[in-house]
Amino acid sequence: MEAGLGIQLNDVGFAYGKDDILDGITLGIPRGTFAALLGPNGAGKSTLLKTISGYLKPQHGEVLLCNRAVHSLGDRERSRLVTYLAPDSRSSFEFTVEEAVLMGRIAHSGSILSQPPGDLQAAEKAMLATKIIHLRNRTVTSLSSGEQQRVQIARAICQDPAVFLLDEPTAHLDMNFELEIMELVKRLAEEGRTVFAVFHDVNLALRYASTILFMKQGRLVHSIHPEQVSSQIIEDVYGVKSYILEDSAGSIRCVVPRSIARP
Amino acid sequence: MQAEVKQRAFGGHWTEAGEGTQKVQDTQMKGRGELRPLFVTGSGALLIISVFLGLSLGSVSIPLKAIVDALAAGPVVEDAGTGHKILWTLRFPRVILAFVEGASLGVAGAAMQGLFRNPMADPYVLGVSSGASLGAVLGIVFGAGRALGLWALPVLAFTGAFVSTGAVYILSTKNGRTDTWTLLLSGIAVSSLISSIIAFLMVLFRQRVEEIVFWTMGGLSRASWRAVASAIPYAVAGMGVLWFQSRALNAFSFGEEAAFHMGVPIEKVKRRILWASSLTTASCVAFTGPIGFIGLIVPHVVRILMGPDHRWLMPVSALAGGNALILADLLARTVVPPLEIPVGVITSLIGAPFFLYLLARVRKRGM
Repeated sequence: MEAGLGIQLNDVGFAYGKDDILDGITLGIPRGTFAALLGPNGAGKSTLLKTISGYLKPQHGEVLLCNRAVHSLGDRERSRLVTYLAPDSRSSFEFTVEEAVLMGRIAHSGSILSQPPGDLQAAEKAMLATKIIHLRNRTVTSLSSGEQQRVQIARAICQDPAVFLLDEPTAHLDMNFELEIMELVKRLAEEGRTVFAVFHDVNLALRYASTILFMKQGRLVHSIHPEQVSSQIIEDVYGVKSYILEDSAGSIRCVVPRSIARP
Repeated sequence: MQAEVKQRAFGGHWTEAGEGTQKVQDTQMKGRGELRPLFVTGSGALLIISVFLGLSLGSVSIPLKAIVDALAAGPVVEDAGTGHKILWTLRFPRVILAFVEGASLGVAGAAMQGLFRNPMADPYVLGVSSGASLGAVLGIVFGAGRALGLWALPVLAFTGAFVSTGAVYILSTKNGRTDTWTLLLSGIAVSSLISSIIAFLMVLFRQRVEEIVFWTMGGLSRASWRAVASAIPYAVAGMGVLWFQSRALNAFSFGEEAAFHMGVPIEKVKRRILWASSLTTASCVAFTGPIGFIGLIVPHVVRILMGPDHRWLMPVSALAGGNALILADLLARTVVPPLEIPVGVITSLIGAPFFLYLLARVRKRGM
């Protein structure tokens, strides 16, 4: 789509104490791409996203977002470029949905006295896109998990960064909203944003993402197109034997786990 | 009629909105925003009434007209009547100090509750009150009052508050990152360590116990123009700094990590809140001793009424906190004349049941 890389990592390493969590990760995701990050529990997926977002500082290597080193940016400048959405983020106080979505504008307007009209419009658009506009005056603490998840996504959209890092954005969502959110995320990428998202559900990622990255034990092991995902790769990454099903049109590919692979 | 409703979503794309049923159902809670100016006006009006009552009532009652006359006449008049003297030397500074301290406690309490994401936090969790008490107690037992004069206790208390806050800060900061839970825990640990030191000193210096107890119970009887003049600059500066962290504190309610990703400079904000709330609290507590419950209950009540947005919560907590302490102090000096009850006793005695009542009411409403 657009030229250039949205996310670029050169030999990024991160360790908690002596334990290496990320082991020399190098990757490049072009702008306007929806890339999915898959891998078993504890592979370092969330750590990778938080290192890209600037929250964790890697011990070596560099992270570039739209060609800018993320760890050298100021907080507000960085947040206009990238945001990260945790899988389970709850408010401890009873903010209304609208107030919570408007928090996405902190990176944009500094004043605490007035909320620019542009902010209100951005929040409105984000609430429409995530279909939570009817909840705008409800308190976030009174919502279901799925609704809270949509509020968080709306907040990220309202923040309007070039790069979205989403950690299990479909957690807590029912089948209907799962698809809604996937369509929405795909559309964000089509509009030129770079989306890098962790998924628990391999099949959902295969259906919507244009690139699939697999992580295992702190390393990036595969970076492929969804149609290249094979049962061999699944066994390699997850240690599970599986079938790959495809519908007649070839548009939906589906991994069906069969048994645990014995080494 | 199934009119197809399309609404413009972000980035110029059209999204279909539900089955045409996207009529904004304005829901459950009436917009809290509309009620806010009403609450601000209401607290302002109540404040005027409290100030008048605080000035008028006491061992000598002074009518409204006399108050206005005394104000108009200014502080220095020849042949001033008793009413004029009482007002200018005692009640004005006392009411002003009560307001400033109550406001400080309200704002600092709101900031602490926001920082710790916990409505149980109060301005004293970081060791401000115990540190101030230790400073004052050291002054009392070693007779610093005789050596250094009138300023000794406030200065020592103020220093004590800052030393204990500093200790708490250092204990919980590593590589420039302050861990919020460690902050809370070391605040509790440092406070109880200091309390035991105070208890130890009370055993060693029994002849001073009464003085120590009197100081640590807190009260506004030591209010003076000097106290007002030296507390106000710190208190106001501290409250100002805290208010400017409002949006950051709003973001903190989703956790520090989320706040970071919204563009909040989280480490700077934590440091500012820590020091500003200590400054604003310590500057008052140094003169009056620790006064409990206001910093816990006022922000909580205001949050129930107005919602958690710190941009509104803090100023209204300031008004309400000042108001509450003026009234509590009025009760403290008028319920059992000529005795004066420590104001902390009044704030807890009235505050706690009121608090429980509100909790029960809110639970019933199922908010």
